[in-house]
Amino acid sequence: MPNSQVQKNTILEVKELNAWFGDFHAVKNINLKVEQNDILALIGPSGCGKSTFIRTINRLHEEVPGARVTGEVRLLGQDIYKMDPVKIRRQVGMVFQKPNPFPGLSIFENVAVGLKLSGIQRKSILTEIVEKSLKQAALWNEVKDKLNEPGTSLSGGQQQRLCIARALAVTPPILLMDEPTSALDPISTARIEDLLQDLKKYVTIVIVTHNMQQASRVSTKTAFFLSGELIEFGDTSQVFTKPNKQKTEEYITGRFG
Amino acid sequence: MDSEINTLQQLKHQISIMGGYVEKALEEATYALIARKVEHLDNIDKIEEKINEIHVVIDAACFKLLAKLSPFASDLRLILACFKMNNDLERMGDHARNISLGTRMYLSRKEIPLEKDFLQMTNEARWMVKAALDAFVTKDAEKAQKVLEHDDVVDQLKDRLTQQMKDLIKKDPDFVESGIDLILFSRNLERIGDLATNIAEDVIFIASGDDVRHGGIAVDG
Repeated sequence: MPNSQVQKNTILEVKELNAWFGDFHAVKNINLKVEQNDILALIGPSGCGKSTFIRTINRLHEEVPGARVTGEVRLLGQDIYKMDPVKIRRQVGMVFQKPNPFPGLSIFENVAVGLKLSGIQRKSILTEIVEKSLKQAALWNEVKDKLNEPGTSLSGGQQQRLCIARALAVTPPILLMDEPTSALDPISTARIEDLLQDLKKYVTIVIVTHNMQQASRVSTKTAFFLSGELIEFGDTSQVFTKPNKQKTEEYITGRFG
Repeated sequence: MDSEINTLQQLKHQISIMGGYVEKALEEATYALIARKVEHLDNIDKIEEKINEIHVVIDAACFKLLAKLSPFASDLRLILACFKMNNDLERMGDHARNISLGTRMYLSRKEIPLEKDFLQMTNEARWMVKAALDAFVTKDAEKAQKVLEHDDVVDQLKDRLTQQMKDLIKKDPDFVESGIDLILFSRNLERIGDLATNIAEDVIFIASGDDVRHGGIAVDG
């Protein structure tokens, strides 16, 4: 059966979403849907609102003094702005530009920390989930014999995969990644990009990237932001070969930005 | 010459130069045939050499630009289209040379008064080449569409001319060789028209991203 005929579940639905920093209107009236197994790439020049947008999906944006949000963000049908923000942040994994393993915690503890916070204490369960998460993050073979060593002892690329494993441990429906490879070398970047193709079987991914080649390589959908507006949203193959909007064309061919 | 092509603008310029050589080769070959002036064939081998040289240069430049620029959208479409147009132009040069080689023989045989259809076919084929190249330079999809509409005209003229030559040969076997020559010339002109059509389709692809080949068959993915 052709892919277009396969019924997919909507994981994330954003309706009329706006975000402000004080008086500055950073994200303007965004509407989009992300389906199961999609990898959505957010592209656009610096300051276009893509990182702010991603931070509205796990309610991190409102932590900034003076910041506010209107509109709806529905995760598996539930409006996250009507839920406990702490619970949301536990559910929605996020990986940042710079790997940030918790200092002082071992590799094992770094992955287990979210599970423990959500009340799982039994060692056998923790061990099982940590191993599964490290395997999903393609890190298990490199760390299985040194799980008690500090997470910060790993290389940059390994630390980033450790952060991915940490995010996956709580089995989030969606994984947010804000320029996750911009601080990594090309080989570590390639490993993370390969990893994303495996991960999309388990988790829907939203990734912010400045690297156009990366967006075209890894994503199934692409959203182009400019000055806080969503200019174009569509299948990645369409956006990068035959964009519908002139502004998208100009940006991805390097005419501006 | 490869190192001179570092931008898409330079690539377009080289395609235009190559197109100019193809037009010149076709003009000289058809003029020599129609006006029975064999001296006009002397330059064609040199023009053909130039075409072959640029053919290799443009191939290498497309390869290099794809690797260096990692292009998207209209830039990607332009490079892919130039890569294909490059081959089509080189083939056009070969067909012009075929006409040139045949003309030397043809002019030594029993003369057939050239019919109106042959002259029209020559003009149509040359117009198609020129219009396709103009459409490329100005990125004019409407003009390219007009080229596509002319392809049937050339095909019909070729069929008519072939029939006329068959009838003539049956009536007077002295015209066998020159009649076959004219059939071959018309086949070369028809192929040139087809290749001009390919270029026009590429121009539409560059301008709009639409693949109109074979009636625009939809392709997934």
